[in-house]
Order: sequence, then C-alpha cells, then structure tokens
Amino acid sequence: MTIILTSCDEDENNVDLLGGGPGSSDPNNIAAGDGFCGPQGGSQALGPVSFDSGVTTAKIDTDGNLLMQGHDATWNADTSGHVNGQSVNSAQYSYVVLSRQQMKDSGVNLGDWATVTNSATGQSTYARVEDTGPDGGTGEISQAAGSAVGIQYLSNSDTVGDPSVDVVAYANTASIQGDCSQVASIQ
Amino acid sequence: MKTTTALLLTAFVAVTTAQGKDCRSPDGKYAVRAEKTITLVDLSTGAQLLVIDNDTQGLVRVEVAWSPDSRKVALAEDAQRGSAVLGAWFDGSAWHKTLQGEDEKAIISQAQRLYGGRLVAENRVFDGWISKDSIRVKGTMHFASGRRCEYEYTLYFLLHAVTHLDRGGYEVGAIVGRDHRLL
Repeated sequence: MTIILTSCDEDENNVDLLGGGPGSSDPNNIAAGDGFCGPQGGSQALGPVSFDSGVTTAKIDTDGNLLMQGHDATWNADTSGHVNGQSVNSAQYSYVVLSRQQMKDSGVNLGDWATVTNSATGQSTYARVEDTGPDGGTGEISQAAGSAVGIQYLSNSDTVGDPSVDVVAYANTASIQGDCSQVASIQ
Repeated sequence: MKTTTALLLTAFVAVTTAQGKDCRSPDGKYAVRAEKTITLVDLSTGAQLLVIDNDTQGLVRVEVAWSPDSRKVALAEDAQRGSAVLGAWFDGSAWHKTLQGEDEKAIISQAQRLYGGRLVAENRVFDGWISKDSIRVKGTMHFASGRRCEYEYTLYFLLHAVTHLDRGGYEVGAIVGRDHRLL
C-alpha cells in the first residue's frame, strides 16, 4: 500500500511536507493556488509519465470541501485518498481525479504525484491523485488545482467558459515528499 | 438452478485494512484475499500466486465471482464514485491478470444524451456466470442532472485476444465487455 502518512498524525511539521498542498489550518481559506508544494527533487524526481489525459475539458471536483455541501450536486464529504487519515479539502489541496481503470492501467495509485496544465494559458501546477471518478472520466481536478492554473468556477462547481487541461500522473511517486520551500507552479 | 449456483459462487468481500478476507474458489484450491492488496493464494501451500491489485485504498467494496470450473475469477471494485472490473485466469501452469478497458464509452455517451449532464458516478455488480467464459454485469450510472440509470452487459474472457501488458502489469484484451444495453 502506498499510504505514507500514517505515522505522521502527530507531526504537524511533517503534515505540511507530505501533501501536494501545505494543509492550511484555516478552513475558510479558499484562496487556492498560494504555496502548494512541489515534489522534492523537482520534476526530474517523478520519472516518466504514466498517465496522460490529453487535452480535455476541465471539471471541478469539490469533494472534501465542507463549504460546498448543498452547492455542488455531486459533492461528497470524503475523498478516496486520505492524508494523515483525513479526506483532502478540494479548496485547499491540489489534487486530480482518475478513474479506477485509469489508475490500474497506468500503475498509478492514490497519493501519486500529478501535474495539471491549462491548455490555453500554459499555467501548470503540481498535484496528487487523491480521488476516484467514474469510468472514462478525464480532466477532473480539485478547486485548488483549478485556481492554481487560472480556471474559474461558479459556486455550483461549473467552470466558467470551456477551459481545457492536460492531467499527467506519475506511478510509484507517492513516497516522494513535498518540498514547500518552492511554490508548486511549474515554470 | 444454474443461475442460483452462479449466484452462490459470487461472494462479496468487504475491504478492510485490519484483517484479510478470503473468497475461495469452488474447488477449494484457491482464494482471492483482500487486504491492503488483493492477491490470489494457493490454499494448499499458502503461497501467493498473483497480486491482482496492489492497492485497495479508496475501495468501499470488492465483489469476487469465481467461475464454476475455478479457472477464472472476476472482480468488481467499487470506490465512492467509480468502479473497475478486473479478472484473473489459470492457463494450466500459471495465473494471469487482466483489466477491463474503457468499453463503456458508447453506452455512457448514449445515457448522457438521454439523462442529461455528464457522468459523475458509476458502480457495477455481477449478475451470474452465463458460461465458463462469460459473466453478466449490471451497473448504475449517476449524472450531473441528478438522474440515474441502470445498464447491463456481458463480460467475456477472451484469453487469446491479449494485445499487450499495460503499465500496471495487466494483460490487456483478455476481458471485454459486449452487448451493452440500458435497462
């Protein structure tokens, strides 16, 4: 199993380093995109691409963000992936959603590193694979990941316009810790 | 009687991290074991023969359906919003594993047109072996419109149709979904 966080429940310093995001302690901080962690060692540490969605329409997954209950018809309190035993908050944590089939086919597991790139602007951010979506789905990303690459969305999670993204994931990278000394936006 | 027998061979395995669960083959020689991974074990020696899935994190349910001759096994994995169908088969000397591809695209498109909005969640269950090489699968799709529908198809084991090994170690093409229809 690729969960690497179970022994760190009481280690607040490590909490920040282990996720794709810094794990803001402010539940109302939905100013996403500020200060997400990148992988230690940078993009070279991630190795070859295991999954590539290709350019696809972006969809916003609000799971894990308690503030979205009642706004997003498909909202869930929980995410498939957990960090330190807790579901991840879509507004605060940069994550992507893959189908179970996509994960198994590519060798990617929950917790592995990913990148999200806005096809129109080239803006890119690091993320982790932290939720499971339906068969055939692509381009589903958290609110934080969407904001980090300049995608706007409405209170019901519908995107503004018809933004496209490319989601890429890297197998067997879950154990690579985050490096919060650098922002996650990829230049 | 045939249907009843097939249903009896279908067992549900709750995924737990604390204690593994076994689902034995009809001949009692093998078991699918769900723990932090899903493995196939030889019950006479205790040897692990195959890692069918290397990570059960995020799964809420795993259904295991052994074929009546104990030479094939199908697994339906359900996470909160999505599922996958995996399989394994014995070729007389070794066990192999496979993964159903994205065979559902056509029926998903059809259902999205009929029910409105994109697919936001789906799950699948087995509905009994039809022959030693095919098993009925039923599924439910949920759409952004709030509507849902049910569908079914037949999953065929086509052991001579393997095209390649994917990055996850699955032999692609050995199980294929066909004859999809909305219910």
